[in-house]
Amino acid sequence: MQDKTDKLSWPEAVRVNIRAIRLLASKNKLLFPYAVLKALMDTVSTYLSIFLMARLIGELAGERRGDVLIFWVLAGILSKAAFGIAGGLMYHAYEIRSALFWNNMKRIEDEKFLSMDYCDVEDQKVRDLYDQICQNANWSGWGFLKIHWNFQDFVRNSFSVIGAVGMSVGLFTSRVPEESGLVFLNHPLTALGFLAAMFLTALIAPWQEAKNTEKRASLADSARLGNRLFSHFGFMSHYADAMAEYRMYSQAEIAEYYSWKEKSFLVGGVFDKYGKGVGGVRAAVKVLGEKLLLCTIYLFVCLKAWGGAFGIGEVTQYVGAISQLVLGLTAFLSIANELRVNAGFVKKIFEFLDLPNRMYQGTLTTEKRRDRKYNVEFRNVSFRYPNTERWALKNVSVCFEVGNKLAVVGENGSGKSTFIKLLCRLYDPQEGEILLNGVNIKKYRYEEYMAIFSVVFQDFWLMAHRIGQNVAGSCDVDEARAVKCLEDAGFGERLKELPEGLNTWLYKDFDEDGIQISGGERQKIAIARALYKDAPFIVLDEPTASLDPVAEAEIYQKFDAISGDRTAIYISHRLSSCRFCKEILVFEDGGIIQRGSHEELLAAPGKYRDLWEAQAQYYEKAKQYEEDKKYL
Amino acid sequence: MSKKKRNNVPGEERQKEKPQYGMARCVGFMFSRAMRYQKEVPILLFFQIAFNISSGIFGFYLSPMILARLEARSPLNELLLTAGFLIGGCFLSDAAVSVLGNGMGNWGIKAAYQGELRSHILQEISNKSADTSYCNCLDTRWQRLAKRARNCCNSNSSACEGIWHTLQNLGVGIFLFCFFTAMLTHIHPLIFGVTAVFCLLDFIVSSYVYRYNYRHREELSHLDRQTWYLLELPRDLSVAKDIRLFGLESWIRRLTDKAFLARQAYAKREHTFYLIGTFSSTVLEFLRTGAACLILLRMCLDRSLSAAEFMLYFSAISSFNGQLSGVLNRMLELRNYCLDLSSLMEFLFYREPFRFAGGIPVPEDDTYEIRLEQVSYTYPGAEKKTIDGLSLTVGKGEKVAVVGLNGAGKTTLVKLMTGLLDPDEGRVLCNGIDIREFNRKEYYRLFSAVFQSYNLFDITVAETVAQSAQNVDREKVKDCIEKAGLTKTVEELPAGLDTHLGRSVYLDGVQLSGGQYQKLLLARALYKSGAVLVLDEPTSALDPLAESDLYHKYHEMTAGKTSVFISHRLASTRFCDRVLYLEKGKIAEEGTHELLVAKGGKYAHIFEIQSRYYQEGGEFYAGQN
Repeated sequence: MQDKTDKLSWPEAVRVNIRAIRLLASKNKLLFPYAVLKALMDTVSTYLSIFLMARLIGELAGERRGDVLIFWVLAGILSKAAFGIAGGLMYHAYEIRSALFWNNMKRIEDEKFLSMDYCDVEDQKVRDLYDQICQNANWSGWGFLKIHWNFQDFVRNSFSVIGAVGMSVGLFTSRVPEESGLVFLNHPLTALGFLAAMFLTALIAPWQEAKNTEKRASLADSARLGNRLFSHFGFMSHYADAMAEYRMYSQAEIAEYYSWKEKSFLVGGVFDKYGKGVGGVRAAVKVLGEKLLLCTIYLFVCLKAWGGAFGIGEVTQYVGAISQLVLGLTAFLSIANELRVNAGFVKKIFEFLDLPNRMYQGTLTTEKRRDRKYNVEFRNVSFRYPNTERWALKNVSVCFEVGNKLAVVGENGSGKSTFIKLLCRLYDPQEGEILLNGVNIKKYRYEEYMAIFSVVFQDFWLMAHRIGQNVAGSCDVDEARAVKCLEDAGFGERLKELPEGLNTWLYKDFDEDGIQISGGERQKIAIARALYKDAPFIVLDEPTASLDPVAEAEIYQKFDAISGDRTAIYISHRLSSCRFCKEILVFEDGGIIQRGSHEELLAAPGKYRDLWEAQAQYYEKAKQYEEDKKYL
Repeated sequence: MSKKKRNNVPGEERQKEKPQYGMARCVGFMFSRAMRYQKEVPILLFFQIAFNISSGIFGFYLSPMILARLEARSPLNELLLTAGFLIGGCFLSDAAVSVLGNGMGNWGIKAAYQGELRSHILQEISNKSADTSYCNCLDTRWQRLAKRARNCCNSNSSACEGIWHTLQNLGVGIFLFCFFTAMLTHIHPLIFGVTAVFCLLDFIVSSYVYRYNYRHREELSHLDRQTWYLLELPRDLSVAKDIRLFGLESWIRRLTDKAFLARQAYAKREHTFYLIGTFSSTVLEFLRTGAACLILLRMCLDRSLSAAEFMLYFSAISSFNGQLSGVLNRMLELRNYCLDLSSLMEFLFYREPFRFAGGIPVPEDDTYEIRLEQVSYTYPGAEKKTIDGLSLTVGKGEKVAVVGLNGAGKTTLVKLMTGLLDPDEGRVLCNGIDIREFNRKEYYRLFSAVFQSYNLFDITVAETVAQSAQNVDREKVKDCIEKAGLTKTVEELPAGLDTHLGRSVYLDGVQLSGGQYQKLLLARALYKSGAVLVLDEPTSALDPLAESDLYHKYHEMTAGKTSVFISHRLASTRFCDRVLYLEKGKIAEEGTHELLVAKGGKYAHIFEIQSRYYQEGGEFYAGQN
């Protein structure tokens, strides 16, 4: 994955930002309007204060009429209070929306993950792209967060610049009296010269800031690596799963070595070097730019005031307004540039959000058949995972008979799981086709096709939510059916013990009173969910790997009841499971090398017999056992 | 019952959360760590404070002084000189502040030093966690402290680094506060009094109002935890599969919508409450500024203060107000940081029940005997004993198999033998010496273990097997990988032995399958070649051939070593000298496999259940029909 944060051109950056703001605005209702209103209130309040203060000072420097003074003081504090309250209302309205910004941002990504083809969810390239997006956000909020953080300031500073210009027009138009000896100040060229000087000096700070932002963005790779090392090695020793091994293998040593391996943020790292070198100079030059601008402004204001063009009150007003201008302009240009750099990061997010769904989706509906006569056929199917050379499945042809109980066996990595993933259309094969009742499965609507499978994957997932909802996979639970399915799966007795029954929470994530369940119980709930779905095909992938012999035997005994008249597929390393399946598929190197009943396959030499004997030898009485003794 | 439990928790926690170390101790701790690891941090802190103060003072005088010169109609050169001097002063101090500290996106010179110091402290925490007596890890108080200690180092705004920023602001704030106090009392004591009183009032109201989240922290964290849990789901691979097959999107969407609405409602309540703060601050500011202005105006008229002086004093009042509330808020901030740091210190100085220094040296021997005498163990918070009065001797070079149903105490037994846990009653002896007499770290060297829950770093295959980054004996690594049956897999990896595992750090890393990981763990145990081999369910993810292969090699692997093998696959017991059948923390049956089968007890029953399906004949079908 290449991390080019190429600088975007201004027009493109603007386009990207506008697209992002529109997307974010649609997910965060009223967030941006309130931000604008708040910024407007702030600006008006600031300039009104400056204006009123200037009048007060002017009066103080002049006639000092008591009632007039009181008037300006009251006007000042009243307007401040009024705007304080109005601004506060806007602020809180904005914050209420802003509280969910991060959530809504994640939601956008989540929706993408939900709508993506599964093969893309699993694709390493997609995951790397997504990780990069997350790391950019974690490191400095690059991406949508930056837009959120900067939007209000961006608007405020643009208002501020406009307001300041409006309030300092008089500085240029008011004329110095002839007798002061500074008449040259009245010449339009002088005003122009000062304007030009102000403009040029005003550019220094944003220019330095821009260079700095670009430099920081260009160090993103190092920053991300540093953060990944930091969060991986710095915090590992706290994981409950890691603690025993940490001690037995003195893993602290290796973690310490790696924690300090990359210096990125540390002394001597890229950021440190930059801060002490060019970055430090830039920081100083930036301040220099700001002060030069201040000098220019004060010089012009002082000269004109000294020459008598305006009074002390106006001096306060111009100095106040122009200080705001300096701040506003610097900030405005810096933020604009930061948003331009950020557009590169936002573009990455859109690259992710715009990933196309490449899987062809047909429009056919599957027939709803009560007799469950669904035939599935693999015809010369070959498949390899994206970005790999090796064929995970090679030229597989197989046809399932309805209602058959099928066992799938083979060594690790022989293609069993891939076979199931293709069957459930989590992936499409590159060659060959898979047919349902004679029609290529791609031609069916995806959800319709998915509806005919109930699968309990080896790494199945249950939500930390109520048992009933987990079984139903929905907020609406058909309670009688859920209980029936849990009973069929062997969870019935435990269910009776639970005071809240179906409403019991699993785990503690959602509710403090949630229960912890054992591996065997989890397995049973997952099977109950598969039963609740009541699909014509049921697939169980290694359901007993972590169970003890008694729990394992329980699942075996239930298998017939569980599968009923469905077509059942059972994958396991425990070949004992083959005994209750009518037919066995033996996988090796991505192909089906044997097929038949247990007795047939055992009768002839072959892979299945090897596998079977490897395991069964230990359980066969007397004869075999004596041989082992000899071996030992 | 559960209700009662829940009600008890907050009170209990509050009692426990009372910090052991006060603010002075905590700040002192940070300085002592700074002196140990990174002396530059306090030195830079001093200069940052100094330059910030000078920047504040120059900035304060800039505009009123120029105004005064103009008002007094001073000569032009004097006017320009004053302006030049003040702006120059501003420039020098601002530039220094920027270069040292917060310039350029908060990346001044101090950042790397403070970051490095934080990393050192994190390293201390990490090492403490890695080395502490294993029983501490099961202690809920320890876990809570560990979490808070970690939070101290999470980012550059958490306690370990954020405190420097707070101390800097506090230093600057206190100085300027004194400065403006002097100025205000000099103008008029009443102005000082009025401003200070209103400022304090505002602080009291605000600090109550804005602690809304703290008062509702349980509700808030509950809401956030739910939302975050739901938001993490769609990208998880196993979840993604189940979502597609069971059509769970609409369920997840509905739950997420509900969680969002609840969070939104909370935000509404929170910010509606904050309006009280906004109103009170506005009103108090109105009164404060109004009163101060009127007094100042009176003085202007009575004592003929100039406009410039009015301006100077007016900004002095608002600066004073700003500094006072700043100092108060920084104090609060410091207090919160110190609460975190107190947990950090409690964590680092946590009592160690195990011996980690001195003690009797572990005897040098080729092989060891491990004996348990009347050992009982109960997990913290559990009601039942997991191991109950168990006695056992594993002789030198003996191979023992431990079997039993889930929850029988097999893994706990292993943890007691390996010295991860110490028994509540009874003792564990190694070659006749109580293991509590050894330096525990040395005792751990005796064991090559494969546990059920494993921890692999994102490092290379070779480093994983050797468990070292710098001393890797590559020939030995290859040999162990061969023995574990992983050579072919490793050869197919893009960089062979030097391929990174996992994807959380290196982008070129690979993910292995469950079976491959299990073999890797075995290779690692072999590389360590400890005198005692402990294998806890090492074959659960292996295919039949690999499983059988391991059994056949088991004899060779354990030659001359004492070994303990835990498995649900009872086949494994054939290769052991003795089988222990565990039930409810006790040895229910023991003996050789044949003996136990012949005895026809519990072991025989379980063995029968498992072997039923492997035996020829109609037993299975008879049972089903």
